[in-house]
Amino acid sequence: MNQLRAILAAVILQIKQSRGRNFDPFKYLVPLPGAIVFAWIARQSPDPAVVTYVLVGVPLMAISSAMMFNVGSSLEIEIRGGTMEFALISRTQVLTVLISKSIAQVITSMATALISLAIVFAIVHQFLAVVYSGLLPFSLLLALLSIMVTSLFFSPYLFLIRGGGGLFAVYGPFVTALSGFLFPTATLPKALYFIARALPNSWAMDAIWQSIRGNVTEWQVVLSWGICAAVMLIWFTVTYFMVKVVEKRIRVTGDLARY
Amino acid sequence: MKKFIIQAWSIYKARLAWTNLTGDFMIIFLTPAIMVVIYALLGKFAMGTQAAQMLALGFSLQLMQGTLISGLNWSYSNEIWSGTLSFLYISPVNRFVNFISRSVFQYPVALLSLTSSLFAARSIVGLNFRLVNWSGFTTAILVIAAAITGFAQLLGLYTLVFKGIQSFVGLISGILGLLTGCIIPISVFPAPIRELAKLLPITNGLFAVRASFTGAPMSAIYGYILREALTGIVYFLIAAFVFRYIELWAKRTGALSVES
Repeated sequence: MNQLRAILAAVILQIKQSRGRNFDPFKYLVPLPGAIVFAWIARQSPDPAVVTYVLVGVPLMAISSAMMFNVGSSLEIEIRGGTMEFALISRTQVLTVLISKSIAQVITSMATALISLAIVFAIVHQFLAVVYSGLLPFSLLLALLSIMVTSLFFSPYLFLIRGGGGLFAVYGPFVTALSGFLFPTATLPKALYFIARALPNSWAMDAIWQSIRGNVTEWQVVLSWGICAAVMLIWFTVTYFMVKVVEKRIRVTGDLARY
Repeated sequence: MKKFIIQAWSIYKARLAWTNLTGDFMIIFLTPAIMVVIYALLGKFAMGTQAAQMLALGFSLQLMQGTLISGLNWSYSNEIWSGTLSFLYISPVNRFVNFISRSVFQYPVALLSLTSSLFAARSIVGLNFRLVNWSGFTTAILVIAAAITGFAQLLGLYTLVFKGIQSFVGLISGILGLLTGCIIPISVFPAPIRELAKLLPITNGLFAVRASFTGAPMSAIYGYILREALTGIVYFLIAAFVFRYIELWAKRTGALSVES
């Protein structure tokens, strides 16, 4: 019960942080020009499967970008805001707080994702052309989970390397490129393709592409789910230990201050 | 001259407040390259390799625009968020020199970003430079970058007035990329939007870039380059006037802090 209360509190906090100090009416509109461009490019394809893939991928990319930035930088924000002390002296696990923040981020990103989806939908004028329509919803759910796990990883990682915001401008697009939100990962050059295989997102997007295209058997889609879940588990385990290292390092050095 | 360089470097260095030299290096070179890869591969997936090449070229210019707009926006928003605007306004520094110094480092940085993204486009979708009329291509690029700088100066000044609403700049930057023909040809838009697009930076210069990329001589493209230059000059002059006006307005209303 206490854990649930802590999760709820962290979710509310993250939603407030995402909203910012000032009301910014343009915040939700920023991804729209990009969505229009993506939709226009997709519309040039005569293949309905390609159009459907982009239709599904654009909102996922919007969610991933927001989560990579907001969840990925959340530990850094705790330090800068001077709230890390409270997180450490409370009985709630830091990882629980981080997971709650990522749930909140999915909720707050949903508005932008839905607006992007509506824009793309209005431009391509096409309903989803899916071969394995029964498999697509679970593939989408898996994609959302893998986005959460990936963004969680970057929170302690960036903290440990003292990366700050600067490197985020690189990690975010890099993960987006390798995830294959807008094109199947098989389109990537060989070297990048092999790196992409280490990302759970790329396996989830594979499952989405296979569900849409239907160029493999249903069992192969299930296999992609399984590999995605396994890769997610590895990422989550690494994240768990990194959070432990962060906690230990802070407690040993007493270095809680921004500088 | 020395003071001018110090001023320009100080303004540029302020952008390192949220990053470091390594991060900045990666932002200049790696981020545009990765972004071009995303668009080029999407283009290849949906439209084929040939179309993806032209798309990558256009998107590289859009990224250069993003670099200039975000960089100049930082130069103004940093003054607000760091509380240094009042120091600028009480100093005897020449306002026009200060205004120009904001883009001194941002301009070459944007050109470096463009170079990086063009290399990425070459390696990913085989962007072919064999036919390029280099003098026309280079002139068009330099003029486009200057025109965007003028526009970015004006857009950056918005931050001084509407302090909390940062997303507006990102939205305008996105709309600029949408309307200038970098990816979607302006011929698909209705006539009024086409005419509006010609008043924006990049649009006219992009005709010159695309033509010179396929080997068109200077005589065929100089009209577009001149129009692009004129567009940039107009935005630059408006921005210089607004910069001075904002100072008078800020002094009169006391609107120098974030909260005001």
